[in-house]
Amino acid sequence: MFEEMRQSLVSVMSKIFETMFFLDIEPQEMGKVPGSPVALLPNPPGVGDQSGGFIRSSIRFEGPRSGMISLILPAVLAQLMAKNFLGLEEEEASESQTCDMARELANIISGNLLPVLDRKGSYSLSLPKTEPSAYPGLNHPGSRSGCAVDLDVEGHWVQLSIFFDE
Amino acid sequence: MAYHLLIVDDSPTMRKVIRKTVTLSGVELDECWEAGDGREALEILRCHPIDLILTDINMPRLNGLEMLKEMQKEQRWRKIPVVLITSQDNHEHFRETAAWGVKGYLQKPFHPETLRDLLSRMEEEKRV
Repeated sequence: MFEEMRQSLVSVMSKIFETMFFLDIEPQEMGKVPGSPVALLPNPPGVGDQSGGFIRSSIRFEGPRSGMISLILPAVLAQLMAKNFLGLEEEEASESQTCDMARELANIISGNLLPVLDRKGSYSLSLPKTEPSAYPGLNHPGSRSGCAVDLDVEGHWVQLSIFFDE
Repeated sequence: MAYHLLIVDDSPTMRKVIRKTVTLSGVELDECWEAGDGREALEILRCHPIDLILTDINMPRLNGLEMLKEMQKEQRWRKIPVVLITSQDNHEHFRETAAWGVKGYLQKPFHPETLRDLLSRMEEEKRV
C-alpha cells in the first residue's frame, strides 16, 4: 500500500515536471517513515544549492479522506523553474512569481494525484499556500498516515508528501 | 477567426503561460483580457465583447463554477463558449456545466497542441 502510494507520487511528479518544465526527476530512498510522523533529516539528502532556503507550498483536500499535500523546493530551484516556466530570458523571476509558480505547481500536482490515489472519490481543494523558510521543517506533524517521497531534480533535493487527517 | 479572449485564473503565472500557449497553438487573437477571479471576469464581460473564455475553477472570491452560474443570468453571456482549464480531473464538473456554454475541458498541465485541437474542433462545430 505504502509502496503503491509512493509510486503514484513519483509518477505524477514525473509527468508534471516533464510536461511543465522539461525536467527529469529521480526518486531517492529517503523520507520513508511508514506508520509514523515524517520528520525530515537535519540535512536533506541529494543536496543542491540551499543558500536561499526553501519554499513549501501546501494545499488541503477534503473528500472521502481529508488531508494535506505539500511540496518543498529549494528556493534556488523554484526561482529557476519559474523563470523557465514564464519564458523569461534576461531577467530573473521575482519572489512573487516564484511563489505563485510554486502554489500553482502544488495545485496541479494535487489535482492530478488525488484521482490516481482514489479513482472514485470526489475531492475539493483549498487555495494553495506558500511559506518560505530557512529549513524545510516537519511535515504535517501529528499525522500517522501518508507518504513522502524525496526526489532529485537536477541535483536539487525536492520533497512531495501527502498526509491524511487522523 | 480572431478571438476576443478572456483568461480567468487566480495565478498570474498561469495566465501568462496560458496566453503564451494560446499564441503558440496558432490561435489568432484580436484582443486578450485577463481576470484573477470570477468577479473580475464579470466586470470585463460587462465592458468588452468577449467571444471565448478560458477559465480555471478553483479561485478566490467567485470561483469558475459560480461565475458560469452568474453568466447564465445575462442573455448576452449565455452563448459565449467556455473552456475549463483546471488542475482537477473532474469530468463531473464538465457534465454539469455543458448546459452553461462549456465546450471543453483541459486538465493542467497540457500541451499547446491539445488546446489548439480543442479550439479547432469548436470552430468546426460552430461551422456545422
